[in-house]
Amino acid sequence: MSRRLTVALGAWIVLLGRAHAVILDVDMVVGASGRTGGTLRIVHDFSRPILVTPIIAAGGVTRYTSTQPGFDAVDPLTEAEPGFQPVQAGTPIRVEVTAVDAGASFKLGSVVLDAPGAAAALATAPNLHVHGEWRLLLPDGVVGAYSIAFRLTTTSPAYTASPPYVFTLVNAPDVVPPTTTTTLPATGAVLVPGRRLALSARKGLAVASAAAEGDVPVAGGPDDPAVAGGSLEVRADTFDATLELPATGWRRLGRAGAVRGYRYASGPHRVVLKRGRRLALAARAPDVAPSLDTDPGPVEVILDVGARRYCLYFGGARRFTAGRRLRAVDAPPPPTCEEPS
Amino acid sequence: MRRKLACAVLAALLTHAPAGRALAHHVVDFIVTSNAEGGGQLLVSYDFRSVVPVSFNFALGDASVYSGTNPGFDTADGDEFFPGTTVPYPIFPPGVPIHVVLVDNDGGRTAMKINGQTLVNPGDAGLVGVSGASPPGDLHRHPEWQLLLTSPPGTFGEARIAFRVMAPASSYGESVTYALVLSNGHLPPPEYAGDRLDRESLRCQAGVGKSIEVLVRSIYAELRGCLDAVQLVRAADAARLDSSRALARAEARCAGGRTDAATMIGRVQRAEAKARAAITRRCGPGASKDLDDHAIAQHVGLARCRAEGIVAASYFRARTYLRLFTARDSQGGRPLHEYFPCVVQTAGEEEGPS
Repeated sequence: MSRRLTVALGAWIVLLGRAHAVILDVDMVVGASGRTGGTLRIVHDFSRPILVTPIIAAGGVTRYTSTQPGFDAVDPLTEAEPGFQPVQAGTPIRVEVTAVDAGASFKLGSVVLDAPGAAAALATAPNLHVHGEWRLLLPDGVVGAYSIAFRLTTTSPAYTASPPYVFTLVNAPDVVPPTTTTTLPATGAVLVPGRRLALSARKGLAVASAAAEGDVPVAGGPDDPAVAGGSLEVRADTFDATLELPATGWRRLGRAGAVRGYRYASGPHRVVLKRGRRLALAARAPDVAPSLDTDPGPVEVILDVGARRYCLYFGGARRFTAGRRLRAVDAPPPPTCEEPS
Repeated sequence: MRRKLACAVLAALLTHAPAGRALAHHVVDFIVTSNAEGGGQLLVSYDFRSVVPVSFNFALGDASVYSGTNPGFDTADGDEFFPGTTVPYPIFPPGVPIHVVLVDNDGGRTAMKINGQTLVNPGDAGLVGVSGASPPGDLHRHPEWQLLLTSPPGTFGEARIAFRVMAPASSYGESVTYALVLSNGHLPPPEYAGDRLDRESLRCQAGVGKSIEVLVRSIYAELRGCLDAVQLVRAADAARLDSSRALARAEARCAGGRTDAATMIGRVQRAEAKARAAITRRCGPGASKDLDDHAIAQHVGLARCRAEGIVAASYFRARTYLRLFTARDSQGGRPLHEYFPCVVQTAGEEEGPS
């Protein structure tokens, strides 16, 4: 249990070697965005590398492995939260590799996943506590960082696949994985308070944030939506809609050298993300019109731009009119939000 | 009514147990604790009758290494109890370092890698973790259990690994020795689709059951035929009757045959090949894709071994009697018992013919 609490507080960090690479050893927690369905998700700090250690050297190659981290189910009593719920019992979950560097692999049971598309059964919820083997096979003496990306999939119609998650395997504690290089911009989720949300079967989505702490991406940087594009996801227990916001629809606000935000306009979709004294976010999507026959429960709004994520959560003061609309106001920032992958 | 009740219980078992992670931990992991609060002897709560399944990892020359990651180590949370009581296992105070010591590696066939350290030889020790520490220094660790077989991949094998846990420089005494069997012959469960009735995987599991049933029956029947013929020789000798005809018949039954395929060894090998092929047809790449060739071959090997073990239990001196006969030169020309390694000797069974 102490392990779980530690996950919530932030992973324990081991600083090793001159480059201070952080070695990860906490299990991944597997859940889903909704109570009865939604998107499969993993809560974990994927920015930290997995240290694999040698098991044998023969024939000019060395094998490295680690059994940490494993997969664990979200604890419904202590870890579940809005947008991160236990996966329904009986749901089969698979691991599918989406990209992998040569030499890296993941052994899950008797199956070795070493190529994009390779997949194996992880578990059937809720019996989910599985440790596989993260592996590197390298020529003797080679030291480095190698990536393996994977997602969770299921054949259950109630759930959709998770986004891909990327681990970096390092075979020496002082290897600095590319993703931790300080020249890269900071990433992470910005927790944004909500001022109002209107979700109507006829008029679609309109959402606006209250003033928040945080910043907008640097113009021309890797997270600049005019370069990297973005997406807007709206999800609740009964629906999950994602709008792609391609780079061509974004334009920068402010003058060159002093960009203060971004505006997206394409078709009926409008998104504004700007920074004055504080951060503010607003979006309108008339075509996001989910069925409101039943109360969808708390609504999450997630804006991704590049590798940045802005999260709002409307779960408290709200008024629902069956078949017509849901309105919510003055929502505090969500306590947590899944890191963007 | 009883049938309905049984159905309800089964359904509950299949769909709801174990619910929640805490229980799942306890099913798969060791619980390291002690027999007294704040001290006493360390103990590991686990069902050590469980077999540790390992699967092919890599080949090393002519040898094959199999590995698995369950069970792992974990500590008591306060909701695990001494067997048959409501007394919870003691929880370690913070700062108790738990080490694992390899006691036996079954002649070099087993090893354990934990926290980056591979325990190969008896006496090798590694740190599991420290109670109360934050990850990664905590006591939740999954070792890599390793089985090394001097045979190509797809050959069934199992071996024992024994260990103790200790907490140096603490008030805890080291545990007794615990032993586990690592086996590469246990099949993973079929993966049933979640969006439909998965007839392919159902057929796979049913195919495994049927094929193994036939195989076990065939092997038992072959060995029984041989050993029954030997018994006739013994009974004739005991009655001071001429046993030469019975002996010739036993020779024919156990080692005879006009071709290799017609001998007992050949028939058993054919039965194994048929079982492998039948399972592959139902479970392999062209069917449900639930099993790979290695897993199928190893499982067939396990079934054969277990069938031979039953024969050894049914027929006293079975191994000794098999030694009386020699395989054809084209099949290796070795004493027959070497072809049936799981027909083990019974204690008290003297070596050599009687």
